[in-house]
Amino acid sequence: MNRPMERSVPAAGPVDFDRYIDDRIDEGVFAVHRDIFRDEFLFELEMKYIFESNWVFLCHASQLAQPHDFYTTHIGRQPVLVTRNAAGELRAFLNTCTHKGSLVCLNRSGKRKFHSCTYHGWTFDSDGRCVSIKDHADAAYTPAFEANSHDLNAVPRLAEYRGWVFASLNADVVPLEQHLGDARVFIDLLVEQAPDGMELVRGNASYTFPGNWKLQVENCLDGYHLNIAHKGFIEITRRRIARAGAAYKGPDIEAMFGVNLKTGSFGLKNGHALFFTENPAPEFRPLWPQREQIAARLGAGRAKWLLQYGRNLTIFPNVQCTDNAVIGQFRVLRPLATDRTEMEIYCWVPVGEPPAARRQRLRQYEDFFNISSTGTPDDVGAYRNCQEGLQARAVQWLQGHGRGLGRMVRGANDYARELGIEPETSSEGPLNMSDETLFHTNYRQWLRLMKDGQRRALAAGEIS
Amino acid sequence: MVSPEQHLTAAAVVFREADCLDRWQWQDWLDLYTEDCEFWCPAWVDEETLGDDPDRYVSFFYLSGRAAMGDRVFRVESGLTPFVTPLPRTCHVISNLHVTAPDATRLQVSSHWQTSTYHRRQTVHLFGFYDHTLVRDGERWRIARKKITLLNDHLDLPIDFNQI
Repeated sequence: MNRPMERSVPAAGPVDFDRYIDDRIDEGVFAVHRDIFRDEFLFELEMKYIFESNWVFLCHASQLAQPHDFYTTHIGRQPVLVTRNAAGELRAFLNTCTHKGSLVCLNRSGKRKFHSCTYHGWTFDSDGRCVSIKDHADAAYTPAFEANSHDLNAVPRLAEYRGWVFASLNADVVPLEQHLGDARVFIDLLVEQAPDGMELVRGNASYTFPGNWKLQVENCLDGYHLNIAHKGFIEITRRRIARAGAAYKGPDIEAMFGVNLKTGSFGLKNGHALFFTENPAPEFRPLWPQREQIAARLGAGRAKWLLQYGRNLTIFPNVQCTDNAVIGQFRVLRPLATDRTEMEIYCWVPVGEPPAARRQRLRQYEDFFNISSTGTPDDVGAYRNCQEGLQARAVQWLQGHGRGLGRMVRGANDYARELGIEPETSSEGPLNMSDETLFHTNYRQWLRLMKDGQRRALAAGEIS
Repeated sequence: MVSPEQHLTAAAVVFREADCLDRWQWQDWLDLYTEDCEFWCPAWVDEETLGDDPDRYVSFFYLSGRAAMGDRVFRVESGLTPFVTPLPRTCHVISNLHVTAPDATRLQVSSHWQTSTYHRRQTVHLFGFYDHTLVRDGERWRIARKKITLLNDHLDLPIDFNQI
């Protein structure tokens, strides 16, 4: 630790990725090198080896529910058009005209049987087939040209788990269910809240922040920052409690930060992670009035995990869902540069919930999660402060991954056994322990994917 | 028919509000609003459709009542939040102001706005429309409802009530 280290130079041969993650937990050591948050050449490799070579979250099925609906997004740096064909099946294509490369779909979402390129009019149906080349008969194309497929380029792998749509630009990946592994249990809990399923409330509240994407990956499952970075939110909540008196309907802030509040975490396989907190006031959750029906539908064990534990989930590398003291938020992140990340955020709601519950949920969401709220702006402020502070290149290693390591266990603990899952690591303790071992799996997966990607690139002769 | 007095009355309230925000006179700003006011900045549903129902679509802000707005002022004044430390400087410029539906006790006022926010050596420009509903309260006029249409909604920094 703290040994001087030469900065590796891009494109001068293979990168020794092992040097960035000091993973010796049997000796009580886990540390992350600061360069992975600040080196631009590493960012390019992350795009290529992590985001553009493996499963990433694409969209939620409710964002394009009907035949011919579409949704545009990105995989890493690459523009993607997701559609439903006439039969209602999901399709994903690179959003680039086979003719001159223009985007073929310019809108964020909508419904269209045909996507016509606005440059020369080549037209594609919702199954990606090129159905029209303008003035084809007069084109004097050669037979060799005509032998090409003119269809949109399909994203090689596309799969859905309970409405969560994932895709991979690399065909050679494990099946999605295997990639998700035990994280599926927590997606199930999120999905099974409502008998008619869940959806994302419409209303664009996307933003970018001046920081590395891994700051967001960590923050969503970081219990340690709550009563420091969000002190403003906590004080506002105290004001509301004082003002409302007995009529107050919201989380009990004092109980929330009591040391007896139970928390825990799981480092799941393939980089996914879960943080959970005993909910001190489950009766304020919009779902609480339906607790008996939920217990009847899911069984007492799952109902307890759904209603009485707040859960923050990361599906590595780019989707996170919180379902905790107040309500649910869905976050999709997209790295734009070493120090710039784009966020698409959504309020995660039951389909067809009663208007009063929906109103309560929206107001709580806007109050804490929106980019105009009393919560998220302070996370964004912290990201910026980290990104600027990390420019202190004379300092090599972070000290941010050690909390809880003294209590962490390999494999399952009682909480994991109750859920029937086999995490790589399990942790439990009071909220004030603020476990940081759950981030280890993120960085182990980061390292695995970077090394795998480099190995493939070396084998293909792309680098030497 | 909108009288010159009605126009001047409306402009005085709308301009005074901007001045209070830019000069950090938070309590004076709150005092411009009625107790049961509504402060609403809807999100866009798609590129061409603004959310028209705060109970159906996400909003940037839907603050109901002066006390809820006071919580936001408290947050800015408290110095407890990393994002607003140090406090951003803002400048509102308002134009195209006109009264659309006047009567003796109520004025609907439409205007266009631009704000510049300067924070930690970075400047952010936001722009859009305001729709104020002013109501007579004795000798003065108060804001009963303010709807803010934010036109450039892909944000590169968080926003607060005083930046729009």
